[in-house]
Amino acid sequence: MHLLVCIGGEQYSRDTLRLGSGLVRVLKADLTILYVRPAVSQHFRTEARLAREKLQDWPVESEDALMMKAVQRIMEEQGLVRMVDGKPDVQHLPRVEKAGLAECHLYGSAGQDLRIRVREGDIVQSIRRETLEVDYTLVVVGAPGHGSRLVRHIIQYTDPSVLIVKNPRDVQSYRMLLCLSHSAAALKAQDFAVRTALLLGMPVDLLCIHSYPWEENGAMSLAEDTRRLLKRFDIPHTIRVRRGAVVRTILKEAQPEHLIVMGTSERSSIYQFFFGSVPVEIGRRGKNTVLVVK
Amino acid sequence: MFKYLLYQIEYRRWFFFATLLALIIHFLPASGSLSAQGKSVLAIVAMTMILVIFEPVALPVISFVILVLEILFGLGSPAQVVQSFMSDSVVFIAGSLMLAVAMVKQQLDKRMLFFIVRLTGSSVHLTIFGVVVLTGLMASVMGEHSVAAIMLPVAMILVRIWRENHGEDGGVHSVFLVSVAFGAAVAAIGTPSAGARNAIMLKYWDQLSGLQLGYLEWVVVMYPLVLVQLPLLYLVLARIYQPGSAGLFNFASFVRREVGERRRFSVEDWITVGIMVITVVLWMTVSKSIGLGPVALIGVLLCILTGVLNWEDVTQDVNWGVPILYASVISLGLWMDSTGAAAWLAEGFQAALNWLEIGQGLPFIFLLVLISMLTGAILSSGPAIALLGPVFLHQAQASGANPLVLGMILVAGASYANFTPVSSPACTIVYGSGMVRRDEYFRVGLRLAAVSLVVIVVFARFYWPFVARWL
Repeated sequence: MHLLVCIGGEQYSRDTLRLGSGLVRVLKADLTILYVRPAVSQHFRTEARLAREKLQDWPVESEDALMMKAVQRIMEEQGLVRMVDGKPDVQHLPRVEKAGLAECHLYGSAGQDLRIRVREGDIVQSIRRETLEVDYTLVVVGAPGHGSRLVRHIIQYTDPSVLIVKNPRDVQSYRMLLCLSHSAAALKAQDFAVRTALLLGMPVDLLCIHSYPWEENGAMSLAEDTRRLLKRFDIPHTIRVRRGAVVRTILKEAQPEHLIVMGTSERSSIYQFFFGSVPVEIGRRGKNTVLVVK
Repeated sequence: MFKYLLYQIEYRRWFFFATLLALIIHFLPASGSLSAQGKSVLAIVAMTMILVIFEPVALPVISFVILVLEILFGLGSPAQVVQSFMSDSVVFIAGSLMLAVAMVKQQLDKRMLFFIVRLTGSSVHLTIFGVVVLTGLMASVMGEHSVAAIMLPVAMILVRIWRENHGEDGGVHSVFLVSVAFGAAVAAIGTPSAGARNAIMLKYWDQLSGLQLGYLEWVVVMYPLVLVQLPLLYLVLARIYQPGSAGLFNFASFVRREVGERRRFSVEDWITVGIMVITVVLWMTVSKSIGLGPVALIGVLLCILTGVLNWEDVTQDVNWGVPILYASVISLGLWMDSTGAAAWLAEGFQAALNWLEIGQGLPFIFLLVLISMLTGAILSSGPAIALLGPVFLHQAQASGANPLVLGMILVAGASYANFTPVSSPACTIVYGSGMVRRDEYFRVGLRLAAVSLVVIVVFARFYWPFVARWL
């Protein structure tokens, strides 16, 4: 497993990083933390780069170096970094890679790879570039508030599964709200959720929603199949079968301790572009952390 | 496939919106005194403004768009349009940028720090004043972006010393960085070589008003404003940040410990400074006969021949987007003039002035400064001058005002509206250090703009009309 945690310089990024680190500690996965520095206006980008190069000759720390140190400190606090003689075990110190990307590479406490990367530019575009280069299992991004375009872009335009972090808590204190339907994407979400719940020891609240009375039997049988699966792996669970509008029902059922897990929309890209999708609406309007499995 | 395309459409949505707007304006029926071609130019101007503000595409791409649309909208033959892109001002801008790279490549930054140490001792007020004045004086000749690159490390060392002396202090330390950003921005109108925007105005005066202003004449007109503004900037900063009487203790020993002992000027340093002095002297003496651009290229040639600059540095460190963009906006400005679009806008402005019963007095100057500042704040100074220049010069014709005075109002006004980190190259470079908050630019920029407004009005009322008589 390889997680990408994407952060900016804001407070909610710190919380996102803590949640991402918590997940990685439990899952023993590889982790890349991507700090996306706000882009300098194109008018003056060359000049800004020249100034940054000049700074390297001086005994002052750049913003990138300070951010990398802060991120490393948080990872050390979380017990994620392997320490040798009281110092972090470093594969390589911060260095500039191709196309303005800076990277620092550490070893994790379970031997996994921990990378801190810095890019400049638009956050969605940076994530896209990153996911094109490396095969990530999950992208973790903090969402600053309601109605954010960022949430829609991340869910709609990134290829790996996405965890949109809102009001984060300690990983172990979450319950999973697994939202299911008969779609292939939902079944993929079910598979992912069961494996994750098993690894994290997380209880699951199963939610099957149907819009019309004649769909109730289908929803019941889906819930029963999933219940059997959860029981087989000994995962604590509850079953909820509800009728109503999907988005509204999920938002109504979600409690503060819930991590909402759902599949991606099966609508076409063009349909989603104009009319949105259930995961996007949950990500935008809800107050819970949302995992969209792709 | 679709997902990728949809993402690109969303990411570049302002480009599509701007294109749509340009097409709508282009296909609107012509009315009144505005010709069909004038309307097409205004369509391209509207599109350019949106592209410059929202940056959905890289800078040179905006130039390509302008070039293609000028041809497609039938403003002139392809040869005419392409010719309108090249002028002495564009060569001057490119040459100045190359010379600036030669200066940045030397070790001037460390020497500046030692110079400040010797000059100011441990007095924080003297240090701030020293940074403002030194940055300003250099930026008034070399270009603000190169001076910001040179002075940024100096300011960051000062921040470190301040923090070692006084710890985290509620943001007072950032006064050193802000001093560099605003010191450079304020002085960037001192000479034509200080900023690309100045070269644009020179071109417009020459082409649209028949006013051939040389390098030295510009200095006579504009430098006094810089000399007044720099101390005022120091006072504004001292009032906002209130560093008190706290000192930068152990300043000299810290610098020696952390930066090393002061080195003597190397041969390369002397050569670079010497070439810069020769170039400035040539600009002041022969630029009227051979042009500003060729003189800048003589300087570049000397730098390359003496080995203080190599072509790799030039290709890597010169922002070629700037001369290319300014070439296109100058072209657009010239088409605004020749198609009557600028005159139409000036007429409309004059009608509004008549309706408001504003004549030639202080309210008129005040309004022009305000318009320049607002446009500069929205578009950044270069594009603001490029697009408003022809309108202001036509306004001068329509109202009988002096084109030199109105041009100077535009240059000064557009350059002194630094409310955001992206308003000038120096502000952007300093913001890139990550140690100055975005709102600090607004806090300082707003107060400085208020002071500048008064100073520019005074200059436009008394000094510039006075010197205009002698030029």
